[in-house]
Amino acid sequence: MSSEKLLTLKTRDGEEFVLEEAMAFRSLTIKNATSNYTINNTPLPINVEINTMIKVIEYWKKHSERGISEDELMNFDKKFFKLLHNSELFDLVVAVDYLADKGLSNAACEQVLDKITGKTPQEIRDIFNINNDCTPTSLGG
Amino acid sequence: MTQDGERVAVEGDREDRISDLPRNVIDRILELLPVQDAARTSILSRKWRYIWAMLPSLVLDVYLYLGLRRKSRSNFKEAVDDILLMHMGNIVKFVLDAYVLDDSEACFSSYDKSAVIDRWVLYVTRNGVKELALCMSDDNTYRLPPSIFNCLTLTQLMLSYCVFKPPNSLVGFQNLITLALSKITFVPTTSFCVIKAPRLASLTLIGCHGTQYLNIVSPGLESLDIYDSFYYILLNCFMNCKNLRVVRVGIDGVVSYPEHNEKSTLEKLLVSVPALELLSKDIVPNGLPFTLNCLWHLVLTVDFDKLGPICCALQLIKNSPNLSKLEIWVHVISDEVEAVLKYLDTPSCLERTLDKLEYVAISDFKSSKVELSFVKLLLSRTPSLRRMCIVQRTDIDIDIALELMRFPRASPRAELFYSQHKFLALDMDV
Repeated sequence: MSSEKLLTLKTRDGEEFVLEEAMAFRSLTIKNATSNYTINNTPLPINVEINTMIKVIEYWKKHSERGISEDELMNFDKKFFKLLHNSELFDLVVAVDYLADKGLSNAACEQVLDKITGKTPQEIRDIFNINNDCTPTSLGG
Repeated sequence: MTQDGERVAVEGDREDRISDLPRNVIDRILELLPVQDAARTSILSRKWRYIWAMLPSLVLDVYLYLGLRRKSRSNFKEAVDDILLMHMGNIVKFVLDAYVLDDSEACFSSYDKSAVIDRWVLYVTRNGVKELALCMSDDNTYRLPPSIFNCLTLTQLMLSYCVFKPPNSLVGFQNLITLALSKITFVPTTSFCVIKAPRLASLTLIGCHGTQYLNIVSPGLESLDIYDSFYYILLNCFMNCKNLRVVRVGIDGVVSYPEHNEKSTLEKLLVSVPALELLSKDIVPNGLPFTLNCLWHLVLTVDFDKLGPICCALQLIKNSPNLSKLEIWVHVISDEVEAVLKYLDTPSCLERTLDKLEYVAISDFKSSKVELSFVKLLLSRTPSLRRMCIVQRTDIDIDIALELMRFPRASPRAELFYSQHKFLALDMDV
């Protein structure tokens, strides 16, 4: 018999969904928001889009599983991030920064980090589509 | 996405998303990179030049030094000069392993080196540094510059191998919350210098010299760690710390200076601190005539070969009526222990029961007779005991295990764990 409290959240693009409070509270932002006003089942608005939120919840669900081993989590993380396009990864990074979940935030930032480490500047530009607008003279300054 | 997870190009992938990430996110990512990699992002685009230049955290450590030496001709001093010169905005965190300058290709005289470091420190203190960590070379000749003592923005300060002589007009340290000093030499000042650190919550002193010259007023202090001091410490200055919760003291040798009439100042400290929750000591004080009402967690390193330390340990335990967690680290054992065994056998060594004691851990157990006798004593005097963990480095001995199991227990709920632990990092998760 589940006696966990449930929380209704509403994403930026208008989608509502229900989540266990304990899981939702992995986000400090959500936790603080709920302590600031009494909830009478009005959905809590969050500044994240539904597609990104789905990924966040997928991650949270896996990392809340009881009895899961470190190895299984590592494998999950690897697969989880591998499937993300760069744009999805950035959506996630921004969303998790807003949600203030340190664990997922660190994991996501490290993913970006991995794509930068050891690459030459041109390689980095290619991966992330950065436009090189440095003029030769401005490089020195 | 295809079934085996291959990524299909998506419209969003052709945009430059990374440059538009929130600044704090980019900073976080760059701060995870080694400094030389982060510096190279400055040429990605014009925007990235500013991102790098305004990075609030600069970690200029030995890894930077090694990276520079390996890859290019640039030397550490020039690299740091360049980084600081091109930096814009506040520097919130600054970590400097200045000792690598010893090894540098440019031959510095000791004076030059100090001057160089002073300039760097001056720069960051003028640019709002909050967390500052300096590690100097172990010849311990570097004198801390006045800019550190007068820096009002500091909240965390970590210093190693410096000479600490505060100027007479010390105004800094007002916002300091954490102070960690390792291998610092305190030097007497001409006039009596009191360091005021009203917001200081945590103070750590490791292997410092001249601690008798340290006089710090920190009424809000919550945690005090003192290890391996080479001289006595004027613990008087901590007497008024009403918020002191954690005291960890490991002093090799003398705590009470013999020429002083006062008994060990450490003991006086213990009495005056009303809310002491954790006390960890490497040596045990002599003859406590008072009770420590707030002490609930005690960690002691005890020599099991002499009567003195055992008596003191038991005295400390006896005088802590609310003690609930006890950790004993076995330091020295011996075979010539008749007197100690005899003492542990007499009922007066621990007459009353330890009613609040629930968890006991004996670490680095060496299975000596004295230790076994001590464990037997504790088991018989702890009616509320829930768990006793005995941990040793070597393989467990079945005979010892059986003997331990046979000891009568005052608490019907008490569980006895006897195990081997490679690292002796005892986790008393309750």
